[in-house]
Amino acid sequence: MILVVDDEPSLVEAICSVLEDEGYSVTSARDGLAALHALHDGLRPCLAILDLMMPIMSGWELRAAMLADPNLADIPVAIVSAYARGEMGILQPSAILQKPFELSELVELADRYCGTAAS
Amino acid sequence: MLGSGDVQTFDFAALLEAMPDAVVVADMQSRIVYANASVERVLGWAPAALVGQHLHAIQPERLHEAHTTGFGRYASTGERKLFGSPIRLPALASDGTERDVELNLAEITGPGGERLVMGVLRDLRERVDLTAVLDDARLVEHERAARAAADRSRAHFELLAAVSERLAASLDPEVTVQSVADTVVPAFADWCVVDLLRDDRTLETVASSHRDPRLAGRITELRSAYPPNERTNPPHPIYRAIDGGASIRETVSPEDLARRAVDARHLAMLNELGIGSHVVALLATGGRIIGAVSLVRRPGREPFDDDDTSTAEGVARRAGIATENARLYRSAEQAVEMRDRFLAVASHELRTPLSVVYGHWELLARWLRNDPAASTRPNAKKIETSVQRLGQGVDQLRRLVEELLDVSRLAHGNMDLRRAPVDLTSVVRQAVDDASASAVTGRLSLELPDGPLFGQWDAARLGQVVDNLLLNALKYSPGDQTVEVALTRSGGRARLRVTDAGIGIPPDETESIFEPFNRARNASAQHFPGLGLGLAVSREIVTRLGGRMWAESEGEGRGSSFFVELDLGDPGDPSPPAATDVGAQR
Repeated sequence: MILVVDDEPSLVEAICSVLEDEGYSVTSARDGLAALHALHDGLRPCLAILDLMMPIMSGWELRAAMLADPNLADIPVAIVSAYARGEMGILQPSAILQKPFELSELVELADRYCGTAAS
Repeated sequence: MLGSGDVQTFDFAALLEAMPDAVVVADMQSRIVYANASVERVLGWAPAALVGQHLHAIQPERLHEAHTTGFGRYASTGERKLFGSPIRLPALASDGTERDVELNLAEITGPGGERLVMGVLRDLRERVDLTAVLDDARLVEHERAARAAADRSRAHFELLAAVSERLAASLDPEVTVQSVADTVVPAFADWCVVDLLRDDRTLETVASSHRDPRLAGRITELRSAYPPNERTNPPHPIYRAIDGGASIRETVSPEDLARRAVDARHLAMLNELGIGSHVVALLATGGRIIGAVSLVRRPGREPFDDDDTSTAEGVARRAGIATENARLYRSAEQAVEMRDRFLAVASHELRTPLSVVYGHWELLARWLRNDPAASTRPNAKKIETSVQRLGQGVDQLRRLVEELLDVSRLAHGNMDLRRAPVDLTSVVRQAVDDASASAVTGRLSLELPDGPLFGQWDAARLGQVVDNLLLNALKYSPGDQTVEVALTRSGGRARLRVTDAGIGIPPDETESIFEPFNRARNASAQHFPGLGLGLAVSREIVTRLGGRMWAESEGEGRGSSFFVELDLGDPGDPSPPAATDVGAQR
């Protein structure tokens, strides 16, 4: 399962579509808090794709909460952002996708962290 | 003091002897009966030798006849034609030379009651000497005055130079005017206030200074408690200067001050600060009055004069120009800041919608590619072309947003560069391949050196530079022209040259095209699309990588060459770390 956290529905749609086309199962959350609830409810994605600028709880806050929780700290996180790469070191991301990114990059990441088989 | 009753007993003979002028007394027959001691000094005669001689003895011969006639008439008729006022005439000295003398005549009575004539002869040479002495004194006085004027004039220029220097040291308007106030106090004025004129004609005190530092705050207090009023009669001097369009210089008496004060507290404040004289000089820029510099000397100090007024005007003129410069600089700074902020926000905000468009275009392209039935659909060719055009548009958009973001990074000095060993030949080859593939028109020729060219560079950023040069060359060249790309090695440097046969660059613009948002005249005029950011960003990247970038052109319509030169680094050299961040703000 891949978790996509982004407040822009049409972007979530494109990301989900391409990943589903590749055979991955995908779930999404509209903000950090919704994602955190899902994680606390037991969701354990093989990869979380995280936007930074979101209402209610930002990607920064969600990532901080994940890093603080030993159960969540090890989940691979790909940050999707318009920010420069240099500013994101403290988030300890597994990967950074700078907007606008190519979908093929996304597929590569999914392949790397979730295997080629559907999870 | 000699009383009138003493005159009889006064020793007149001794007085005559002591006189510096020659005194000669003659009877009615022109016979000399007395000569004092000074006769010897004035005419060279021993007094005793003169006594008994005719007056002709001390007269040049040519005057003898006139004397005889005139004296004869006087002796017989008493007519005193020459008496009463001094006569200037030549006298004959004992050695036969003539002396200019001033003669005063008086009739006296001799011991026996006889009429006598007394002549007092003053040597004019001595007068001349005396005049010379006086002239000398006057010269000394002149010189002293001239020196004083020179001193003042030097002080004037020194003050103005000091003001200019202080003004040039800062572009902050507050610092600027305060430094003026500090410079003129206490040497030129005891205190000083600089007021700027607001649009509603009220005054804003922007600087003040007092020779007594404890009173500096009192000036601000005075201005806020009793702001200069233009409705009093007469209006406050600042308003009179502003309305008259000229400086005002006044000496202020305690009575004047009492008249001007609004109340006792006001008067007390004015007296504490001290006003004996003041000059109000206008601050103006471009013919517009923007405020005034008020300079005040306390009572007891020499009041301001005309020279001081012109000094004050010089100070105000400099302060006015500097204030305006500072204001312009600040507004330019604000504009640049605003532009940078806009760039940062705009490029950032554009990224999300761009991601959506880009993502869906990619999705569409993938579906088309992966759909085995795609080619059999109606309009298959049209759909394919449409998706391709969409892709080109999105790519262009992406590049523009990228450039905007880069410019904003440049402005904030936080462009990210990651150095690592890079082979420039492969970067150039890749860029040429990409450009050839996407070029709708035009061709590219590529000349590469035999081996690789390694250096410690940022591959992605260098790729961006080469892409940019190739896209520009294709964009500004007419359809079927070939763009030459040549990469060569010379000594320890790699040199890339991209030459097109396109619209060229006006000779005076080969430098300015590298400034952000600046495009060559002919590029804008011929409506080539672009923001004018690519070259600015490219040059910044090359510069940060330690290289240089420049353009050459024979002129408009005669093509252009762009050059990039970079230092080669030995990839086997272990001293530089494999990857180094060289961003300015890390």
